Amino acid sequence: MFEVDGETLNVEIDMSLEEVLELREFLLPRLEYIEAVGVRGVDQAQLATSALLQLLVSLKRSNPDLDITLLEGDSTQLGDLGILYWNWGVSDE
Amino acid sequence: MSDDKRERLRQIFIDEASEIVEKLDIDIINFEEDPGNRDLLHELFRGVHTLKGSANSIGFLRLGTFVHSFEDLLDYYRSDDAPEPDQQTIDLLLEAVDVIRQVFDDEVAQAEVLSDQVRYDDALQHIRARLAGDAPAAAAPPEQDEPLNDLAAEFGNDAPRSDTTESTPTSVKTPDYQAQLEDGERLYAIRLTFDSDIYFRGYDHCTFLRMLAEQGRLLGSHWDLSAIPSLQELDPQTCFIGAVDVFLASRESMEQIEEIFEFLDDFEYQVREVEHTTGSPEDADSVSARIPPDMESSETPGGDAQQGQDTTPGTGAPEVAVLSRSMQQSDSRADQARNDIEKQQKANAKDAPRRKEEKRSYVRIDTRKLDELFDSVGELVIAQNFLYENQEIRALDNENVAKTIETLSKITRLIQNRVMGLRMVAIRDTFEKMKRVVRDSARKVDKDVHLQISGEETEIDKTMVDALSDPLIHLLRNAVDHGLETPDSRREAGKAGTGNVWLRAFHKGGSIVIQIEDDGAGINRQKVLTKALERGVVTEEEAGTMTDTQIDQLIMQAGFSTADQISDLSGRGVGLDVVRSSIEQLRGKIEIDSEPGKGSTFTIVLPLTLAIIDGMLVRAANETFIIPTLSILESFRPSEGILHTYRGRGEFVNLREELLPIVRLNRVLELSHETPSATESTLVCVENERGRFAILVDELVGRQQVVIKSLGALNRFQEISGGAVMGNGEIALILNVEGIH
Repeated sequence: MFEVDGETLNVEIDMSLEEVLELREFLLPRLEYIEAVGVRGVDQAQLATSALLQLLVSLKRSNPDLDITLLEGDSTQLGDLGILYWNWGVSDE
Repeated sequence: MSDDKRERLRQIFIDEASEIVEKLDIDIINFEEDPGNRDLLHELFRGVHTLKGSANSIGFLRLGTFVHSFEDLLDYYRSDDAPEPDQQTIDLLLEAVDVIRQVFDDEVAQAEVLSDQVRYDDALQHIRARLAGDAPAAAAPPEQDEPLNDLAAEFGNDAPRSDTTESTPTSVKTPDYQAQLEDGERLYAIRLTFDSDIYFRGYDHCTFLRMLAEQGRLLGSHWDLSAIPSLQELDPQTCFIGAVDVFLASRESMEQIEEIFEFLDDFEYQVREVEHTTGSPEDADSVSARIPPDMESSETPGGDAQQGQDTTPGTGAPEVAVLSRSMQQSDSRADQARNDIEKQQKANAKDAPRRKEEKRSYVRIDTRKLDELFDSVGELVIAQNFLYENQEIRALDNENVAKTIETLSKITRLIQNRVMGLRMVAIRDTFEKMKRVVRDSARKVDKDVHLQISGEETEIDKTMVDALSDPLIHLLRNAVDHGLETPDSRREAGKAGTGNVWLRAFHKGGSIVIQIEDDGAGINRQKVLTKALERGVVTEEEAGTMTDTQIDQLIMQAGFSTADQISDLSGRGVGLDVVRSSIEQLRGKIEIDSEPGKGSTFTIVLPLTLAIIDGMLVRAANETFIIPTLSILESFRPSEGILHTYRGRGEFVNLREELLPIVRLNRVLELSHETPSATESTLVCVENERGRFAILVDELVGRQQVVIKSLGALNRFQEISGGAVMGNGEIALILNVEGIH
């Protein structure tokens, strides 16, 4: 479901809620070592839970310099869910 | 939806609605004591809101209609500019809950006509009158030319969002979705504002988006991420995602789309059809709209959806009229609900663990399954005892075997205790219900009463909880009606005008003790004796020798149940004698302690559980019997000097100047005709409804907790109440102290 490749954390798009919980626990002591987050399987699999989006946003808030592919720009196309537009709030834009 | 599924849903609703209704009563009483408690008011609202939505879904329309108005009233008082509810309003709320309870029962019974239509209509009228009088804004439809809600903010450029957060997001800038529609398609705007516990409930944004995608084409969705905290503060199981605005192109009807969300709370979604008007689409990047009056809540003519044009001030944004088909609630209520969600999400650091704990603490389980589990564990205990006392295994004299059996014994006991623990529930809910009883009783007799509850966390067997309700109600009404004096009388007696009633529960010596105490006038023993003589409950001779305790007990004799002044037990028509019977059926007892001028205390002593009995094993005529320890006063081997006979037949023992009849167990149960010497036997002093006596047995074996097995149809003897399987496989009969003598 997720792995660390050097300084990049790769997560699978179809992670379950339980796996998202595990990921958070995994990340907490390792935040400073992660510089980028890649989301895999966007074309092949489906986003299983919005909790993953939430976690990625939370990660971004903890480290604004972090590169997260899914959250680059104002929107992203996610397969069957169409285009998702991000509204971060005034302070975050 | 299949019939089976519908029936299951109906039953789920009935179970959950019953709990909500019970809680409403308690919450309103608590709210009366603390009218400034906004959290309680919101809690009330949420319960009513859930009840309304579910009632309508299941088809309990009369209930839904009533609860809708009730919800309006609560919603009014939730607003910041509403005054604190006065006593009249509280009374109205309580009356409304009573009506809800009645209508709920009628709906469950599928009654064609309500059992009290007049009361229903009156209460509804009062609520609406209260709303019209105190809260004109809640009842009347809004002005046509004022945008009612923040749909303009939701979809427009510059108007602030109604859901304020610290970092207020800019308004949603959207592509021109209208231009993407194909022939026959309509544009739907769906706003999802999920509660923070959405994941706990098994729901997810993705699930609903996919269901929407099955109904058409997802053009885009706009996600409010502003409230999501940093990783350290994030609880992934709590939803911090704010509003998600979804745009769907579909040929399906509004009803089809709305059906997707039928199991969500009403405030968690809104579905609107977005229709472009003839006005010029000046700005392709934004959509603004206004909401016409809510169709459902309007009771005045002209509640139909309306179209119109509006220009969002100062923006030059295009005008788009929206056909509002919001199914459930007015927009102001939706805004309030959204505000509630935002506030709740803001407080996540404090609330989320609590919510997580609440959601994980309870599991709904069929009590029959619990009973079956308990039976199985009981069999396990018996089997383990067999092993423990098996002579062949003992003969092995193997230390390892002995240790293993010992460990097995410990684990078995642990399992038994834990399973027993599953049956135990805190008495809190039962006690909470009593607040209303005391309140209503006090109002009825125009007395000031302060009820003090303690020990509500004391746990009691689930099967006892329901049976206790009526006796407690009766005892409390008795305390208020007849125990406490009027305020004037109290002042004359040097007491405070407000009377006190204490309701306590605690564990003591393996039993549950529940006390109802009042600081009233106490029992007038002279009057009780006079009444008892009049009714023939006691003779003159008996009356002359009775102790205070025995006189007090007279009020629980059957002859007093219809008395007027001493023990007028109005309301349910239940006499104190029935209270005592109810307690005894739970294998408990009730004691009275009263002091004239000071007050009375009714003490109910109950076993911890009905499934297990704490008993004294005794032997008589080579048979083992069990006497419930709750009935035992003491046991001893008598000396010759205290034994007496009467005319060579009746035997008595003089115990501290009290003559107790001796009952030979072997004779009573017709085990044998032998007459073992009393001085070489043991006397077990017990007490039943008719007084004290001593059971003569060969010997005491020991005290033990045993699992009760009902004898069912085999039990034709009043002297026996059940059986228990001993470790050696022997069956021991449990004596019924009431039936022995």
